[in-house]
Amino acid sequence: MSDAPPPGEHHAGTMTVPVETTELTKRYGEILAVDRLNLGVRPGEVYGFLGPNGAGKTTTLRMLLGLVRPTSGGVRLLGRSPGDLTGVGALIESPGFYPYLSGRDNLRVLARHAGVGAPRVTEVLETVRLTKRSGDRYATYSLGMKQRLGVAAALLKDPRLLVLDEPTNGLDPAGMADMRALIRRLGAADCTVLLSSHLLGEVQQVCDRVGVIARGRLVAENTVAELRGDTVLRMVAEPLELAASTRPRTAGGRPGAGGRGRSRPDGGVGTCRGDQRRAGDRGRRGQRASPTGTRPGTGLLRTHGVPSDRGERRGRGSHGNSGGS
Amino acid sequence: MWGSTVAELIKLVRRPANWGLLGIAVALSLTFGYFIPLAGVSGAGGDAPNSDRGLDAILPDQLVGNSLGGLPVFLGAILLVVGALALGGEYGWGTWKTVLTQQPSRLIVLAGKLCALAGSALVFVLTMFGTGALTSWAIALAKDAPVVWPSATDLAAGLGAGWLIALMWVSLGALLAIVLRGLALPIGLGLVWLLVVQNLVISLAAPLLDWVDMARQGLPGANAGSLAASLGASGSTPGVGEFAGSGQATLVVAGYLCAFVGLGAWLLSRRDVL
Ligand SMILES: Nc1ncnc2c1ncn2[C@@H]1O[C@H](COP(=O)(O)OP(=O)(O)OP(=O)(O)O)[C@@H](O)[C@H]1O
Ligand SMILES: [Mg+2]
Repeated sequence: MSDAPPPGEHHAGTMTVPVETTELTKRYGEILAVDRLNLGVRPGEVYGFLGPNGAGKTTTLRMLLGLVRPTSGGVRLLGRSPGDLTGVGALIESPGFYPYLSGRDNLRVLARHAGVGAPRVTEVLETVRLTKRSGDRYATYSLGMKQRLGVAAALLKDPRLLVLDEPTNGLDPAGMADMRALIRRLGAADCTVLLSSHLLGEVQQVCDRVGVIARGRLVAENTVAELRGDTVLRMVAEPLELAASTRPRTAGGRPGAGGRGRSRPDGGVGTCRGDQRRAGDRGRRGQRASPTGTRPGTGLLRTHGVPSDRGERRGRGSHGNSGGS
Repeated sequence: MWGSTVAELIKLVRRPANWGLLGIAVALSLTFGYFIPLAGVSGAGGDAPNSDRGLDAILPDQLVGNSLGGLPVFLGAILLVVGALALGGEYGWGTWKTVLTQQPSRLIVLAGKLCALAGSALVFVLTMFGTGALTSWAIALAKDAPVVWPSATDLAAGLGAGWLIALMWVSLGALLAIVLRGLALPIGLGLVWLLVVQNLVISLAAPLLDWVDMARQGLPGANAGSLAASLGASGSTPGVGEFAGSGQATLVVAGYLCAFVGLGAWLLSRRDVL
């Protein structure tokens, strides 16, 4: 899918590292949202940034984009100095647009800010399949349409690095499949994608490598192949947080516990369903067996170098295609 | 920065609320500046403010003062809302992150916004002058009064002063929105200050207490009122009066403008965008 260099080589040569953080830390009073994070995303790869609610994903991405000032540590995107977002496109959390403007005019306004020509607006609307409704006011858009417009905005600059924070939030199964297919297409082209998610199945479907963040720390980093093979990703989550969470999630939680009364988030997108359930089961077992490190109200994701005894992870649908549209 | 300015202009122009505010401003300005005095001339004004000013006060030669009269208080309040809307909306809709991830630095976005707002403030003031000119001309024709326009110098000075006062209120609205990171509270507090607190200080407390009288000399509204008065605005209009010399008033208003913009820029560049 991508021709990313093997591990350890991404600093070599003239290739700039798309995303590099050194000891990145953010503290909000008592809360250590991000804790000495060292992240390295390689050119051309789709990197999954996986973690439960409150793990520090969004805070990290905000720091990458200069929206939030790190307490300490450094950030470099595409080898440029902090704050320079040339060639970077991003969608952070829920999309934010002007409700009184149409989808197209929202993008036109952003294109002005970005110094991008008007034809590009038409292109990205086409890419996210929003052309038909692009003349309607943003306020009248459905959740999924808003999310797609957010992705369109992220694509405006024809970015070399795309930072997406839970881009499938609010999308129906078909929309999710569409979005994942789009991310894979972008990853297969020149674009490097940093994708945050709390859906293990999603990350496994679209990503080349996965970094797992918990309590602000990078607790594991693996290729998806490794995750599928020898290493079992074990998720341990504190039940209170699961109950408190209103979002659909899979990190050790019951599938479909999103409380939205609709199909579970990955419904219809292939093989991740069973895997997630198994991951959840393992998680609950792991929690009983190994509660160390949990604390009230905090989700914890850990990886254990446990050989996959039953080989059940190997039977997964082929990477990159199972959710295709 | 030009791109950001155009982007902000598009947003200002396409936002229905701004047109609504302009309409209200024109209606208020004509009502208090011309129609009520006109009713007074015809003997139908009763006790309404400005109803005893006489025909001479609403003829074309008084255009500058009449156009500036509202700016210290009620037109100022509308301009403050315009400024707060332009900045505060970004917080409410979560659009700061959308705009800032497109590239431009925060200060460039703010500069673009302020340029666009400055353009709008000029249009606003020109509209007050334009509608005032039309109305006073119509009144002069109807009443068979002479149509004598102010000199170009007076007009230019009036426009300049009006623009300066307008900019100050717009930037106060913008600053409040940045400080409070929202829309409702900045507008509420700004209006309470402008329409209630400042008015009480200027017209009630100052004549009674020496130190309040001193403090009044430094208030943005009082200086805006002095500047308007020095260019012919009627002292019977709320907020207008010779509280300070025109030179001092101009400097203080310009000083507030710079302070509001500087403080807003400093806060915006320092704080996290959530
Ligand atoms: N502005 C803030 N002030 C105080 N605490 C904050 C702030 N922003 C984030 N946090 C805290 O930092 C931690 C990480 O939050 P963050 O939003 O980065 O998590 P996340 O991994 O994106 O979670 P989710 O999957 O729910 O989006 C949380 O404990 C959160 O409460
Ligand atoms: Mg988040």
